[in-house]
Amino acid sequence: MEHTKHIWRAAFLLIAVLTFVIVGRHFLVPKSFGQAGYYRYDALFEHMDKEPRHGAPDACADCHDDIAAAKASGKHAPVQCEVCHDVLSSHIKDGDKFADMRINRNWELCAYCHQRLVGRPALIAQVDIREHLELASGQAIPAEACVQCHDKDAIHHP
Amino acid sequence: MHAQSLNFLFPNDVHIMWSLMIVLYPYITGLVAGAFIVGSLYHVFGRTELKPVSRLAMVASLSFLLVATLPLLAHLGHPERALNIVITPHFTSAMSAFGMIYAMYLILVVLEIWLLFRKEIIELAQRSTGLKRAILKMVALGVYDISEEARRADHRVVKVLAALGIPAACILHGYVGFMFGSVKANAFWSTPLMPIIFLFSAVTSGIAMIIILYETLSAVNGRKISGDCLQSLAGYLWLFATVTVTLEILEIVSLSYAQDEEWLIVGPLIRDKIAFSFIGIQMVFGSLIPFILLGIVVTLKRYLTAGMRNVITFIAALILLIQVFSMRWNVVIGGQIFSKSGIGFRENYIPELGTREGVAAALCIFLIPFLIMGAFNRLLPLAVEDGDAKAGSH
Ligand code: HEC
Ligand code: HEC
Ligand code: HEC
Ligand code: HEC
Repeated sequence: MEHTKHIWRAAFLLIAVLTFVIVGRHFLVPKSFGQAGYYRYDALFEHMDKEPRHGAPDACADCHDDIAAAKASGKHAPVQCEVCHDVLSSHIKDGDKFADMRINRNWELCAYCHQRLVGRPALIAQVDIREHLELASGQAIPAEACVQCHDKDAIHHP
Repeated sequence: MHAQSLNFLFPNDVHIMWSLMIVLYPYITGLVAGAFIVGSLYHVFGRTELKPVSRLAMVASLSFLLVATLPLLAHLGHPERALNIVITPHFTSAMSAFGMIYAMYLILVVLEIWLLFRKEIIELAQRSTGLKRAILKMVALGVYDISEEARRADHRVVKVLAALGIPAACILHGYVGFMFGSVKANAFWSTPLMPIIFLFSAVTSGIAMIIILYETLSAVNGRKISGDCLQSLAGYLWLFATVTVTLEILEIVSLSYAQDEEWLIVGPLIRDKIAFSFIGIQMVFGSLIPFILLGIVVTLKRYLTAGMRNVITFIAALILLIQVFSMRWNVVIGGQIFSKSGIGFRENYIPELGTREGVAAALCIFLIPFLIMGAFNRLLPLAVEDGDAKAGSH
């Protein structure tokens, strides 16, 4: 027993460290944690305080009723305006237009949904971009390739 | 198609999210567990011929353990939030269980190494001066007792710690396999065999790594390699590699024999998509060749010179390290190449070079444990002195 002093010291040190961790953890746990479930309850209110950036699905229809109506009867009906353009709050403040809305004419926008992928459900029309554009191999895809033929009316009402 | 909102999630299931770092992570934790098991063969099961690597194995285990979380942190978008899982762990979360297992295992290994090196720490403290001496004295917890009785007490505690460490090491790594095995949606991962396969390949990689470290360390120090030790390691490596590969094959064979619907996607995955890394590297190059090489070392040992045995074992160990890495790669990347719906495949994954999750970062992370071991060896030699043998309890 008399030659185990170091082992007792180590055990004591270990207990001290564990106590420190357990007590220290207590102070690190956020205040409202666990109040209404296993999460920080205050996070809810911090999020509720934020201005919404997206509009409701028909938010654009108030002012762009012609385009909204065209889109609703076309195949892009399930695609939100904000997916192809930008969030409502980048365009409208207090019910009025205050900045231009982004118009994305880049082919990558369309490719995001229409590029042929084996893993993509067949109910979405897919094209092999290079084949569809009849590009020679090595030829770069022009930035605004798709809108040359699929013009804005066709895009809003495909 | 209904005119419902597609919202902002469409389309998903296109990218391979778990990158090279997620391949590296189970590889490194596997080395942690495997190296520890090698150490325990001596400390718990009294395989005295493994004494020359008993310290090396423990320090290797610790060195890999210290970097085990780095690949995950490099992969996370918000690495600074990683501690949340430790501060507010949820007991139903396997990920947060990892935090606790990791901490427990770290304590065990540090304690065990401290006891193993206590004599050397004290001797070093007595030889040095100034600040170094003060620090080393603190590390020795102020007790300079290296009498027979104290050493015997050390050995008893080491034995208990090592015995506790075996389940801890197995859980630490079994957990990694469990993480993959519990992804229900993934036909290639979702099997209860996953933790077991991971565990066995971890031990394989651990033994292989210790062989390589031992031979390298001996060459650097100009010491003789212990024939008994290497012969025994080669035998264990052969055994564990064989079990590992058998399990890996059994898993695929049962999938293919049952011909469930998941085979419709896993079959083409193995045949076409990961044929090179699975059949080529993991099965033929990585398993068959070491099986033959180690078979020669184990069964024909009478006809081999010591030099030949060392070289053959070294090569087999190196190949098995590659095999285990390719197994991790095939599980992690292969499991993501096909769509979870089983409808088809994605683009193949090629890791970038210079990004946060790229090849260069992975190599840097993998280098750190060796630097730690080198620094440790400089301070406290990893090689076990022969004169020490009688102080051992075995
Ligand atoms: C599939 C993607 C997509 C969707 C969905 C979409 N747009 Fe567009 N929109 C475009 C593109 C691309 C252009 C530019 C077309 C061009 O210039 O050839 C454009 C142009 C416009 C323009 C400018 C028209 C002009 O005369 O220059 C307005 C306004 C517009 N969109 C409003 C809307 C509204 C409102 C909605 C929702 C009801 C909507 N868009 C939905 C892609 C889309
Ligand atoms: C409060 C009315 C209002 C709402 C709501 C509104 N817009 Fe506009 N938008 C305008 C006005 C006004 C213009 C400029 C008139 C014009 O040039 O035809 C405009 C122009 C545009 C343009 C052309 C580029 C520009 O900024 O001049 C696009 C694209 C556009 N809106 C898209 C949208 C989308 C998408 C939404 C829904 C997220 C939306 N708008 C909601 C009033 C509105
Ligand atoms: C957010 C995803 C999304 C984006 C971005 C998108 N589309 Fe679509 N598109 C759809 C969906 C969904 C349909 C309806 C399903 C279908 O018929 O393929 C559709 C239908 C179409 C169709 C009719 C296909 C048919 O069946 O005849 C055309 C043409 C088309 N899109 C062109 C475009 C072009 C050009 C762009 C780029 C300006 C574009 N789409 C951007 C999702 C998208
Ligand atoms: C040279 C003119 C032209 C260009 C440029 C063009 N398209 Fe088309 N695209 C067409 C025509 C014409 C059709 C209708 C073909 C049909 O209905 O068979 C069509 C049909 C489609 C369809 C529906 C295919 C289907 O299977 O129903 C998609 C999706 C589409 N285009 C996407 C794109 C995308 C994305 C780009 C840009 C990379 C693009 N297109 C560029 C002329 C063009």
